[in-house]
Amino acid sequence: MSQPSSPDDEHYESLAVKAVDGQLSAEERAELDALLAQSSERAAELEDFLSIKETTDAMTQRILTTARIEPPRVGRGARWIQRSSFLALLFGALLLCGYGTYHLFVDPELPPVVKLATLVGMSGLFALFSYALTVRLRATGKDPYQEIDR
Amino acid sequence: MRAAVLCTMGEGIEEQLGEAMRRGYVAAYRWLRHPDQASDACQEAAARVLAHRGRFDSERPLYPWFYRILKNHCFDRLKAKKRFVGAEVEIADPKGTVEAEAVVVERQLAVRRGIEALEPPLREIIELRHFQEASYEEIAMILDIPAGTVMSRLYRARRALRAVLLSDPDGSGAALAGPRPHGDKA
Repeated sequence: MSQPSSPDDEHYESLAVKAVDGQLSAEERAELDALLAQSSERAAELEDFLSIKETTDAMTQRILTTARIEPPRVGRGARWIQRSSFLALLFGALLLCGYGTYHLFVDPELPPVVKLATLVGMSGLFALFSYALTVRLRATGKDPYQEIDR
Repeated sequence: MRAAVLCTMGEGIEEQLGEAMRRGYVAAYRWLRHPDQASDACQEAAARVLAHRGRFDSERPLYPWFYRILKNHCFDRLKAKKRFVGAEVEIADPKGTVEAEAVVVERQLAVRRGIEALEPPLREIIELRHFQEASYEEIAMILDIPAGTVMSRLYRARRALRAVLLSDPDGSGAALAGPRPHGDKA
């Protein structure tokens, strides 16, 4: 991609961009007219830019005719239900895991290898949960506009 | 005809969200190529924004955040369904249409091919400015580039698109036809 060769070119580029986007002031309009009067190449280029904009505007309108835009379906009540359900599920799972693990360890008939496997498995689950929680807490308070939300 | 912007959820972020959904719909449609899927994607992105409304900075525009979420969601959908982005349903086949309409359609097809031929950074800035009406400030935030770079990149993108259209063997510059007085109203 070529870079502007001079401040004049940069100025023209800025004016041309604004002209296509309909954001020229009267003063800038006069400046651009003066620049275009000196260069038929630039005048042709700007005409083509405007033609492209006209076409993309028509394409946009065509797409918008198919739009059925409604407010989001998830309301505050639904979000509260989601969060409380998640917390209830999490709490229940932790309670069951803890209860089951305790009974496994106090059962004298179970071989030590089963107890060891249970201990390792529970440790892994706890580590994964802690990691997920840490990542979530670290994300809190960061600039949401820089975060990739999925 | 523009789609009506529904702002029935109250003030503040909800009102901005209605406008963001309208603009985002165009982006989603151009990625997913299907009106229902585009609507669903906008719904999903809006729901995620509302779910994290506590993180919304009222001093900054909402659209860059909404766009980022929407883009990721749409790309996830495309990956999941392994759909080809170029599968087009938005523009009618010029064959069988009346002559004037056929010219318009040919022009739109040429511009679409031209945009798809651009390098990704140039293509994205064209999409943002031309199809989503993103302001220069919003473009700078979305692309994470200085505000001053937006103008020069936009100019380069338009220039590159013009070059592609001039060399388009199918369109033969048809998308650039039609002399008009230059003006500040596009």
